[in-house]
This record gives sequence, structure tokens and C-alpha cells, in this order.
Amino acid sequence: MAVIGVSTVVIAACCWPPDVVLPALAPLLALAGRAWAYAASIVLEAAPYILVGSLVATLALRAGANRIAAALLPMVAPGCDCSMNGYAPLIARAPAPLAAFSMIWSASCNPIALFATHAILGAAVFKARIAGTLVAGCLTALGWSNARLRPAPSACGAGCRAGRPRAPRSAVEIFGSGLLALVPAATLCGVALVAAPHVLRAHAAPLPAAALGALISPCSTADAILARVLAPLPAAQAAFVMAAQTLDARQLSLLARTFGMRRAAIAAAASLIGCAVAVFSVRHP
Amino acid sequence: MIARCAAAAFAGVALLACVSGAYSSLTTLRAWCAWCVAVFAAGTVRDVKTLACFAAGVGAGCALPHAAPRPAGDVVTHAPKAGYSGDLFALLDRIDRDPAGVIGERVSVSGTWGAAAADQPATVSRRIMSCCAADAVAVGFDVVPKRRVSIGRAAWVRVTGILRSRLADGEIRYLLAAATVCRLPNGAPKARSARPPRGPAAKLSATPCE
Repeated sequence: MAVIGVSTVVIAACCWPPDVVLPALAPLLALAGRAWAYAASIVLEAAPYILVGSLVATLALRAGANRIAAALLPMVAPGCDCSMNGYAPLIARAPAPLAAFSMIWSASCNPIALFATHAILGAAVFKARIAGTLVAGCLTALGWSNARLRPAPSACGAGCRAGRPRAPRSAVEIFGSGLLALVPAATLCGVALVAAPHVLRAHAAPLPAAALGALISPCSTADAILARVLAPLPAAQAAFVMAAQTLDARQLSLLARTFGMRRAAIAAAASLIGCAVAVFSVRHP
Repeated sequence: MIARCAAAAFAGVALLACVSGAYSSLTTLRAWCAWCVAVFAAGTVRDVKTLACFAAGVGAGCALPHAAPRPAGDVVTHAPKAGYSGDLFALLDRIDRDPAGVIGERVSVSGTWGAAAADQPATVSRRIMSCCAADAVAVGFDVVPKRRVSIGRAAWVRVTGILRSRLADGEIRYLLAAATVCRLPNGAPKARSARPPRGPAAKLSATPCE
């Protein structure tokens, strides 16, 4: 492979001299550099939160935390939705419906996110966020309880076959796994911002606002500020914050990696309905 | 093993970003926090494979910019309402509370200059970064200068003009019409989000503010 690679580079260098190639490559390299900076910034910012989630999850797993408590803990104090990448192995031990509800609620309606939403976007969007998340969480729980679905192999390994959760993993392993779940979303966001920068502008209609929220996937602590700036109307703000936490690439990638593609698809469908409910509840308070 | 390799590669990127200052320019994290997570991740480097991943991470970290990249997208003319300080944010908040009371007034704001492009008007804006460089947004006003302005992009300026509103692509945008633009010295803004750029762009000649 190395020989083929080196040979290809040498042949390419012979065919196209640097004074021809470099001017053509320079703009592409500049774009790639910006995409890398955007993607890296997402991972660098999220890393401390993933680390905290990983440490708490490891401690809880080692202490043999109750399966119900394992799902409730992140709902009360996740810190930020980025921490969910760390908490996921802990939540995966809970019964499927509770795990489903916990994954949706912790990401979208954690205390800090609710506080920021109320302070910046007002009571109407605050209530819409709760209503939409409740619907999305309940529908996901219903879907996960009814479907005969197997979790992803990465979530439980060989233990799943015997119907038991996998043995506790180390904090480093959970941290690395959380980073891996974040990388596809960060890459997508970085490339999209470079390829189509004009999507990052104000959107008055709920649908484009939701698409923008899902694409840039801001932290739950910051989505209210961005919604205020990028979505001038309350219905669009509700759609933005809901989609940013429940339909974003970061959340869906984490769900797919931890619980499997089909469960992630159910969560996405339920979250779409949750978004619609949030928009409806703002328009018809 | 894959997770450990990911953590090792991250450690390489993060440590280099801490050393070069890229961590603080690309994120809102405190330096000590960035160092803690980088050192924790570096603890995964224990064998040849993870060392190779760490080295690859260091290489990738070299490509990170030392200054924050300019925000993607257009300048947005809506108030963030999140406690940002500065005359530009104060004016946006006033517009947010009572647009009719402010439109038509002669106002003055300071921010980063964005020269006019083919299909875009000139702008004065400030960058808000609520989380990381990827979700940084430029917030400010369109500017229609009274006369031709020869100020380089990203220079720190004061713009004085009459506030108007217009409809563009179904969105209400606010602009400063018949505006005068003057360049401010570096270091005027105190807010982190409003830090002016250093370098050649800021040194271009323009009318100094009186």
C-alpha cells in the first residue's frame, strides 16, 4: 500500500509541476483549513464535558448504581448535552424506555438549558421546549419499548448476547468513545459551514430554523443565544432549540453508536414530532 | 483500542492547541480547563499505537489557526440579549424593545468593518461566540456610507449614521444610512467577543476618529 501511495505521488508530481498545482490547490487548502478549525473547535469545546460525563459514568458503574438511578442522574445534572457522550454507557444499562426518555430529556431539557431558554427566549418558548421534549421523549420511549431491537455492538459487546449489560469500562475508554461519537457530527458541521456559509443567517420560518439548528448543533447551554440571533420569531426559536438538541447530527450519531441505527431512527422520527409540537404550542398557547 | 487511539489523537491536538493558544481562540474554555483535559487525554499514550495516534494528533494540531476564524455566514441584525456589553449590543437591544422609537435616529456604533462585496452591503459587526468557533456569529448592521470608504476588512471602526430598516429575503434588516466611518485604534473593545484583530488588516489607513 505504501509503495502504491508513494508511486502515485511521484507520478502525480511528474505530471503536474508545483507552479501549476499549488495555485489551484491553495484555495482548496484554505477551505479545508477552515473546515478543520470549525470541526476541531467543536471537539475541543466538548471534550471537558465529555470527560466529566465519563468520570461520573465510570464512578456510577463501579459503584454498581441502580439501573433506574443511572438513567435519572444525567436528567438532573448533565451539565451540558456534550456530557451525554460520556453518560451514554451509563444510561444504556437502564430499561429501554427509560433510557430513551433520559437520552432525549437530558440533552434537550436539562436545568441549565431550561434556565437559559427562560431568561433569553421567554416563557412561551420555555414551555414549548418542555412540551416538545416531553412528546419526543415519550414517543421515543414507546418506540424503543415496542421494537424488538438489539443495541449496537459497541454499546454492550458480547454481554448483550446473554442479556446482560457489559462490564464497566474505564473512564478513558468512555471518553475516547464519546469523542468518536462526536467526530462525524463535528466534521459534518465544519464542512457544511465552509461549503454553504450563507445558511448561517436569520431564518423566520420554523423549518429552515430547525434545519440550521440540527446542522450547527450548538450546546444546550448556548442554543438559546443562537436562537435569539438566528431565529427572530418565537415559533422558529422553538424549532431551532428543539432540533439543535434532538435532531442534530451529534445526538443522532451518539444514539446510533450506543443504541443502534434503528433506535436512532425511531428517536429521530419522535423528535420530528416533538419539534412540530413545540412550534404548535408557541403558535397556539 | 479504537477509543484509546481516539483519546491519544485528541491529546495531541489538544496539547498543541493549549501551547499555541488555539484552544482559547477557538473555544470559550478557560486555559486551566483546557490543560486539564489535554493532560488527562495524554495519559492514554502508553504503547506504540497510541504514541503514533498522539503524533498524528500533534501534526493535525499544527494546522489549527492561532486566531479565531471569521464567523461563517452573513452579519445578523438581531440582538443576542445575553449580557454582551458594548454600544452595538445596546443599540440592538433598544431596537429589540422598541424599533419604531429608534428608526430614523442618528446613532453611532463601534465594531469590526466588513467591506461591501458584489451582492453584500458593507457591515459593522461584532463576533459573539457562545460556545466555539463553529457557532460564532457576527452581529451588527449593514452600512451605506456617505462617501467611498477605503478601510481594510476586519479593521476596528466607529460608524455613525441614520438607522433604517429594510426587508431582505423576507427578513427585516437594520442598516446605518448616510454613514460616516472612522478607524479606531486597536484595543478599544474590552469584551472577549469583540476583540479586534491584530495584523496587517487593522493597520490599513483610514480616517481616524476625532
